[in-house]
Amino acid sequence: MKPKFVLLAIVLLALYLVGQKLAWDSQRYDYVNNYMNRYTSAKMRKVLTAGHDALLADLAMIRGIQFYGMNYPLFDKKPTMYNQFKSLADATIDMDPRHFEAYRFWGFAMTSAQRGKVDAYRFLMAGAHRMAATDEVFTIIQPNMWEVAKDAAYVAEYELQKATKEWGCDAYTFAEKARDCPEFLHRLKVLACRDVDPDPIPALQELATRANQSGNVAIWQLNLDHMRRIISEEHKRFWDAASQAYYEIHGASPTRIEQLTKNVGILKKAVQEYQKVSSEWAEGGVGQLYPNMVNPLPEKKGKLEFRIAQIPELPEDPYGGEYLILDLQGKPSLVGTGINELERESFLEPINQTLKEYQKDHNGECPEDLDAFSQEYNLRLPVADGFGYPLLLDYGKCEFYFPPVSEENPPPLPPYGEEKKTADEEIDLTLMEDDSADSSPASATDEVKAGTADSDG
Amino acid sequence: MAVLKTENLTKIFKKGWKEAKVALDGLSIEVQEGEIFGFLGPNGAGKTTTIKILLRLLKPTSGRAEILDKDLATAPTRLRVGYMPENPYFYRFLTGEEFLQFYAKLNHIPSNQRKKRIDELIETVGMNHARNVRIRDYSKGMVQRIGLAQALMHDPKLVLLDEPLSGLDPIGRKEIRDLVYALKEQGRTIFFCSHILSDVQDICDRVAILHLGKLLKLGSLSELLGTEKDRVEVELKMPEGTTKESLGIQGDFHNGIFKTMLDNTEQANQFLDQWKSKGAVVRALIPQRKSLEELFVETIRAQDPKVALET
Amino acid sequence: MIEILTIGLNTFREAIRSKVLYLILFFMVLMIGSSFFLETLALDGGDRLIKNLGLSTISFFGLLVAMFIGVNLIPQEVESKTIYTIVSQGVQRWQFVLGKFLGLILTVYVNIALMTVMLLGILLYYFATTDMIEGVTFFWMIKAIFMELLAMLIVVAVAILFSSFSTPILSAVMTGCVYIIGQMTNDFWDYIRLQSEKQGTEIYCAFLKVIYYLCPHLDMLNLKKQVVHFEELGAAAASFPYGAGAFHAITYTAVILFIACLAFSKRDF
Ligand SMILES: Nc1ncnc2c1ncn2[C@@H]1O[C@H](COP(=O)(O)OP(=O)(O)OP(=O)(O)O)[C@@H](O)[C@H]1O
Ligand SMILES: [Mg+2]
Repeated sequence: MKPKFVLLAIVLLALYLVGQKLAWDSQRYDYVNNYMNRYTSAKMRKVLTAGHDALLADLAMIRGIQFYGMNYPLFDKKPTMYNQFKSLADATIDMDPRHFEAYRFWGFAMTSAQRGKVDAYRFLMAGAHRMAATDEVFTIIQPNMWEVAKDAAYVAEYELQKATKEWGCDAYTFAEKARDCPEFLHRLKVLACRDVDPDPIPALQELATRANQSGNVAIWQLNLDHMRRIISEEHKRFWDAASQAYYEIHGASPTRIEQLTKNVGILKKAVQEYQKVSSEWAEGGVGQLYPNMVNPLPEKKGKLEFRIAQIPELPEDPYGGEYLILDLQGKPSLVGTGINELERESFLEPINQTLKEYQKDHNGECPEDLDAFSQEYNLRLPVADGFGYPLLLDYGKCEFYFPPVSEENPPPLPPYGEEKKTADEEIDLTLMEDDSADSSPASATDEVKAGTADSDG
Repeated sequence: MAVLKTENLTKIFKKGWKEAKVALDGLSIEVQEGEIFGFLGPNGAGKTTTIKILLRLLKPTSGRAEILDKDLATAPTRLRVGYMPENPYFYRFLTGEEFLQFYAKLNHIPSNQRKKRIDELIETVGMNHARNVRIRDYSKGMVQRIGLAQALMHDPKLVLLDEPLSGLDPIGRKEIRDLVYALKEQGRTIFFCSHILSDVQDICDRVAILHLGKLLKLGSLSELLGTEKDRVEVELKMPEGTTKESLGIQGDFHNGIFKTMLDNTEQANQFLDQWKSKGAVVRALIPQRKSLEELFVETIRAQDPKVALET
Repeated sequence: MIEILTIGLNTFREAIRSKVLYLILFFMVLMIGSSFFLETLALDGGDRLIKNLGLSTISFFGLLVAMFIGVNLIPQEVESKTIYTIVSQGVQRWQFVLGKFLGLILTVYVNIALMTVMLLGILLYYFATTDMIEGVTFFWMIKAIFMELLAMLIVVAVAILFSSFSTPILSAVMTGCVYIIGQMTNDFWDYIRLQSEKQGTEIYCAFLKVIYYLCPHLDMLNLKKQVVHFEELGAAAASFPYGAGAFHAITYTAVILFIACLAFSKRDF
């Protein structure tokens, strides 16, 4: 080879490398992200998709899920990562403002970052508002909007720990606008608005169902993490209650777990139960007081099993109810959280008030047609209470009531009632099944009618 | 009766804003029914341009062109003329037979006659062996042949052939030439463009010579060549000591043998008498008829002495 | 008529024997097929992704065929000199253009039919495996694909128009541009409205409006969003301007083809 040629080759190679280096240096600055954020408006992005915006929203979401799976442990350490993740979320919903799955995914995913929790709430609420917005094209509120609003409420209650008291209540209230909003959300709303600790079971059940339904590992993990956080919140309450009981007896706070297990009678069995469960699930079989109620080492993509607690003997408790703990086997039994009673009242109060108004307007008559009644007063009649007892109308007193809670007379409806088909064979209760039973309009009127007939006779 | 006529046909191609290329400059020709008309000219003379105007693929800048007694400025495009373009490559994805099928359908040939007609044509152009081969895989000559078949599909009165012999082997050339002759026998008129002159010479009744868009010569072969029929080529072995200067006329002188061209027989006789007496021996005496090729070169040289021609 | 049909069928035959078509079809089938796998990556809305990806693919397919095959049809005939022989054998130039259009649209439709079968098959399988048969979804898919077919008329006609007087590359670019602009005329109109509220923009707005009226309204034929959100669209979806859209597609195509025939008849070779 001629030396000139070699020289030329070397010079070219050097120039090439310098060029590559320059390009690399500037590439490290995330152009795409900046471009998305600064130089395009939402409208612009949508226009550029040339009519394929819905598809691009889907693809952006898949990218988002991948990004989450790879980077979420870094969200707190590297703020730019979180920012990129969030801007991807914004881009996605710009392209399809009613992208249901996108809201739910990003809503929970953002909570993985400490700084993303408020963002998550706002994002979800914005989504709920968009899905409820109507214009000449979208004429009705999206029927599944409630799920997004409900997620916002979960974030407010569990992630933000009720830092802003109204947020949970606001979110649940907004969720009620949706057509498909299920019964249990009304209960949660009442509790949230009264600032009572919520029943975690529906939320956990639902998250487990969602994790089990998705074939995607990242999504599975996301739901699992959220369940863990809810559970640890429950544990904390358990510990607080136990400490308080200990304090009442000993006049001092407990310093060690053993102190609780030895001295607080009502907690003893519960703690033992916890330890038994956790020793089975935890690595090495060591018992802990704060086990994960969810198996911490489940198979990837394995089914999450969710079981409702078998309650140990509990003579007294600070809330006048019973605690929820894990049960290794068996079907759910008739137990409440102490909150159900409260909830029954909260249901009855407004509807009985409306009933009075009705009597005033109609010469003291009691309504014959409950459908017409609820429509006239724009009222939602609950199908059942938190136990599963149906709502009944006493024509004599002209008053709504729920049957008394007792073992002899078990509730006919879920959550604690026998389900017609699957109660025995399926241990994990899926929320979806509850919903369909709860919110099917045909069964709702039937039950109420049946109730009225009973009281007539 | 004229089946094809142009009057003062001019075509100027505009290139950009200012530049213009004169492709045809006042061309007037007339082709009579039943003749084979040779349309000659070097590359870029404007032969293809003329055909395109006749087929209404191009609009003339000025002048008139008539084909089958229809004025092209007003007649509809429906012409029904057989045309074989130069260097075609057609639908490469079709087989020869499918290709002809397509033209048969375009020409409304009823489906029961189609097969027969196609067989006939394939036989005529000698493509029976390749009828089911895709045109993509044809050789150049095969494409020419199938192109010719296509041009004859609708039994046209007038056939325009643009360099039909280019790319054919000697046997193919002869076959096509015979075919063209046969077409004439069937009463068709043939307009034959070429720059391969020896082909034209044998079959054309009349020729036109075109250069840079201008018509240089037009007439029957005997008209164009006949006047210069009696030239004689003389070859003599000269006696020893003769020099080229002493000969007094132009010619080749080599190894004592002199070769020259003399314009008529009288000149030849004079010259021979003069040198025979000096002891020269006649080796050959050949009467010469001027070839079309020479005429072509001569005509074009006369018009434009600088042009480089490959003959 | 026989001429148009013959040329159309020949064009169709040419297209289905070309490798480009199969390359495009291969990628499109891959895309539709991938929705099947992407669905596992997305959340529970896999059905949504299949629908979106399928419809977008069909739309893209038409565009790509128009851009890569359609714009070449006429220039190719000129290059291979077949156009000379066809015209010399008594075929009118407008018949030639219409024949080319017919052949291309036939190619597009046949392939879209294939993709539709595949798409609906995947949807059916998806529903079967997830226990959620939704007949209404199929109804909406068919409707959306039908509108897509109408949109294809416009796209193909535009490709033929440009290729009847310009080079293939330019035609492909122009066809792509018309497709993009056509998809966003609605947003474009919003922009014009915003502009017209400002002072002293009359001439600019008039100019924009001219462009607006010249463009095809492909977004009138775009039912993709309706398919995904059909549930909450309710009455609005039923009152989607199907008739107006179809009318627009057919008349626009007719006008474009008319211009194409005219341009092609005036053209020198
Ligand atoms: N479309 C066109 N645009 C510009 N100039 C053209 C065009 N077609 C032909 N020409 C010019 O017109 C002249 C005549 O071309 P034409 O093709 O008629 O020649 P020809 O006699 O057929 O030559 P050949 O023997 O090489 O086929 C050429 O100089 C050519 O450059
Ligand atoms: Mg030529």
